[in-house]
Amino acid sequence: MVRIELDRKELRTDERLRGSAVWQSGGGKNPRKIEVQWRWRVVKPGQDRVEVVDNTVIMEVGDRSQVTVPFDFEIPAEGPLSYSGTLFSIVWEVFVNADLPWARDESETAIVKVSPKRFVPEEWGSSGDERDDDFDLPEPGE
Amino acid sequence: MSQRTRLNDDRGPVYGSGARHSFGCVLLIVGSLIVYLGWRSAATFEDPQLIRLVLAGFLLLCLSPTIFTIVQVVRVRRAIGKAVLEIPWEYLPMGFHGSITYIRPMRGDARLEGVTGRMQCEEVLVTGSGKNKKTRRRVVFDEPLTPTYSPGLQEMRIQIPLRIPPAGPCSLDYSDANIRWLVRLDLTLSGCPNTASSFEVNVAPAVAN
Repeated sequence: MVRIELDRKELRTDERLRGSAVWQSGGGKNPRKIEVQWRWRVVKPGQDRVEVVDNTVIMEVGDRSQVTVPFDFEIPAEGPLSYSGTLFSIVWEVFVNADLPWARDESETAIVKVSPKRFVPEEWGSSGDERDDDFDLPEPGE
Repeated sequence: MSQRTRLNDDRGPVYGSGARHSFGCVLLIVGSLIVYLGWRSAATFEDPQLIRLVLAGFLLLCLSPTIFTIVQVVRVRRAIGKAVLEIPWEYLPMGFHGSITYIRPMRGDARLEGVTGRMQCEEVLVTGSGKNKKTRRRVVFDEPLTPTYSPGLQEMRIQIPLRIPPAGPCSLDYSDANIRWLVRLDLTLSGCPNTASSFEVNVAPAVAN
């Protein structure tokens, strides 16, 4: 059984998300590894697209009946922000997966709301340059 | 003194809507096909010369929308130069409340008679791949602008009060999901054909005080 404990569920960009993922044995198999992902997801028709920003992995679980995985993730200043739109939505989430050998993995998800921080012009290219290109988020896999 | 950012990427359209240009292209293609087939079978008629003359006239008629568009675009380009949009910063914040400036050189007899505009935010989603690829757009914010200008001889400078809602959304450019903010202007001119401009403005994931 997996559960996620967050210190906050609403944060601004440039803040840090802290918490822990707790895996507890239900009497069955012990996982080979436990991974905690900090990611955002584009919710759209068809398959959602996931972008993992950061992760923490515990490989050596051994015979322990309970494993606590603390995490401390940064929310990127360039976002994106949590968004509920007409054609698609953007959801930030902590996703925990316990990889069980020869069994269905145990997983849990906790949604976090990411809001904008205060605007500081110097951080957003106020040099007076001429702009031709759009600001791009990293492509999947980058 | 803080410098402003100048945007050069004017997406127009320079003259007319996409539907008008599509109609012109379709007319040209269909007309050319008709003329080609008629030309080949003209010899079977009593007076092939007359038939070919009629077909040539018909082809000219089909060409006329395209020729007219080309002429009007050239007139616009000669009468007024390329537009630039001046904004305070490269990225504007959500909750922005200020003014931006549209600047365009004028030549000869061209004069600005009127301008209207809109601020729009659209979602763009691309789904599927290959033959099944579809692009869907939805306007999620649409507000008229109230631009003002003073008559000038060599340059038009249009002040545009602009408001971006504090709730955004912010711009997004992520492979198949995009959020774009656009400033659209329609210019009424004397001495040259009317034209339009549109600029994409980046909205940062940050909110103004």
